[in-house]
Amino acid sequence: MTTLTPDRSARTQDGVSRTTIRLVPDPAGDRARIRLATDSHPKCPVLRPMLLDTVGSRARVSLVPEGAMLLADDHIDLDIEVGTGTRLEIVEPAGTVAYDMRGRYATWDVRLHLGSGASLVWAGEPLVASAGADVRRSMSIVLAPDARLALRETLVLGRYGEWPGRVRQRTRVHHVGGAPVLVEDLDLDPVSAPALIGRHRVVSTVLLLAPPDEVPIEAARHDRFDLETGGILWRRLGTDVHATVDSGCWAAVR
Amino acid sequence: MPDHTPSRPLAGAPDSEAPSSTRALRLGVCGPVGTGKSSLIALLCRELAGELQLGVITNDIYTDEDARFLRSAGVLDPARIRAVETGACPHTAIRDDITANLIAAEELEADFTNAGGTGLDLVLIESGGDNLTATFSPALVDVQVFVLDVAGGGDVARKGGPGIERADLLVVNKTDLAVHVGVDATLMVAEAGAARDGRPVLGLTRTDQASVARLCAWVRAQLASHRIGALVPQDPGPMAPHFHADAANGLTGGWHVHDHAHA
Amino acid sequence: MTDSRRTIHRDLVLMLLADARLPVAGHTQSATLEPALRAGLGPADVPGFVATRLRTVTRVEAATAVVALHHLRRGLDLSAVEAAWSARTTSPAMRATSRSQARALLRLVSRLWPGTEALRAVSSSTTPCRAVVLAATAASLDLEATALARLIGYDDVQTVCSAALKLLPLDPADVTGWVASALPAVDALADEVAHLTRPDDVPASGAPQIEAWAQAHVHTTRRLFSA
Repeated sequence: MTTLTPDRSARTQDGVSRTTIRLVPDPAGDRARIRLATDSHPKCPVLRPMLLDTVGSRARVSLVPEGAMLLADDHIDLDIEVGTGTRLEIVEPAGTVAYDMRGRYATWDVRLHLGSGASLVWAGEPLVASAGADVRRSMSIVLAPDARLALRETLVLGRYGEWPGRVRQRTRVHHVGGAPVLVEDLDLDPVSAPALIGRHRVVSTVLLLAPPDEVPIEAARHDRFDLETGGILWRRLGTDVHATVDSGCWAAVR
Repeated sequence: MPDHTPSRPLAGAPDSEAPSSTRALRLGVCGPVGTGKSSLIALLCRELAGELQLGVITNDIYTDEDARFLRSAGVLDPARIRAVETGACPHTAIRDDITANLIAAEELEADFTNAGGTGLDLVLIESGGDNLTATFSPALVDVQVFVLDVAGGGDVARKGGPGIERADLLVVNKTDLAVHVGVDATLMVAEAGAARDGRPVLGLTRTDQASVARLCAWVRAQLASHRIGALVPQDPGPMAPHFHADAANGLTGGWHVHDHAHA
Repeated sequence: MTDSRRTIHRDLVLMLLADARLPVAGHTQSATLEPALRAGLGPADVPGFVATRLRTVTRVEAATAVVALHHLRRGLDLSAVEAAWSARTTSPAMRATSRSQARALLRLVSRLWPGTEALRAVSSSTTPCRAVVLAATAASLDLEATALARLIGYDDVQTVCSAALKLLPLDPADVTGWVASALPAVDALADEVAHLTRPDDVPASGAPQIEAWAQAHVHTTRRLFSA
């Protein structure tokens, strides 16, 4: 495994803090090469990818926030490529709190690309949208039909006892070639949230996209959504993070 | 040039289009609440499952009460029992809008044909318990049984109504209870016969094997008639006199559409 | 043959299709209201529930139908439209309900208007969704996209409200008032989606709570309504 040290020399003028993770197979053998990079203005916070360990074609990376986030005008951009046959695991040391943005907003855009036979396990930690926060999140995923993705996400609207912040979440999952897998927009704010998620403030999801023989067989359960093209979305709505996040489900698919 | 006229009609064609001998006989069971419709179906399953391929569709108020009763009775493979929700409209589901039941019947029949089996011989459709006016549409069932019981009162049969008077078979159930409820079962059956203008009436109790045998014989005779294409569904409905609906597809007169007001 | 045909106003076609008496098993549907009430919604919440559906799942269905109509009129492949709809309909229970309703509708309209190009096109798909079969019906009967979208919005409102009458102690006149109050939102929905042509254009407005209720309903015994 070859590792390139994170590089912070390049600076962007558009205020977007870019993080790039590329895990690609080494044509020389069954090892993989990983490239970790960030590109941001020094005054802007950035998600710094820290390599935790590597074995063969596998790598484990932690996304460590550098600088206070998430505030108004923060623009986080993640571009992650998991190349053919490689396996990447991403962990986050802590959740993220989006603070009151006083009429402005922050963005959080993620692009994932999973090649043939690639695997990504991403244990996302909660995003808490405080009252007054306005976060525009997008998750664009393109994956080969035989790739495997296990993704955990937890969205919390408002800190405890607080009004919800606003989160506009755009999810686009397609197979390589363009066939849609999961397409969803959620625009949650103090007015829409009661209609869209009822009397809840926590949306906890586990998304598993995998070839059919890798999908767990389990007893029928209310919170399991089998997607049309294969793969499963487990989604729970709740009022308390710890009671809502389904750690058993995550342990089974990660 | 060989003749490509099929030797037999295609299976799985929409109900009324194909000659009736190609699919299972659909037998409806209706009647007021508590008269023993589910028990009668359980009885038929117990008696006939050895000789016929059976399926059951239930239409209870709450989805699956009857289906669960039948499954727990252990008289039929649970996969052969389907429940249809009626949105609190059991009458509608067997009469004005039979779509959900028709689709359930077709799916049940298809499941047991596609699974490599020989297909079903008989599909029993149980209506949700309703009042005396509810009867099956002849587009849903080939033949129907109306069930009364002696405990409902000896005069119910005499009062009449479409199901009592004109269902293909009227069952006066639980005749063994007659003595306990002060009803003369023989008289009740006789009065029902008079109200039915000679159509068959059967006094039934599970404990009287002869009555059970008569019920099964009647069902077998209906099936035999269905198989040779001689069974024509009769409508007992309120407007009684039978008419033969035009089974042709499409509208009898066409029209064009426009979207401007008439001058 | 053609000469014997009468010309009728398009509104009459719409009335026929929107009539609750149309035998397509509409009486078995609550548009997820039954599980919503079971989860604690009350009578006062029903108008809001109707509005939420119009903004989310019903919007997806109406837009899918409009895009399908465009595809049918141009002889384009419908599979991309179906795929767009199913990727936006995360609940398998809701997909199954839509397909079952589609089957009921296709059964009826194929009988009444056999042999139309549009109905043939959707019949070749093994399990078309309701939006696509409604689009084929609209294509067969020469309905325009806005009317099709209005039909879908209106039908959804009526489905919820008529189920509410079965499930809650309500005055039917009040409930009809809810339907009438929802009409501007139906109209706005139709205007919003009527021009759409591409599968990618179909809005992806999810409703996690409604989807969760739809799933819960499948696992419930003692249901009055199919969905």
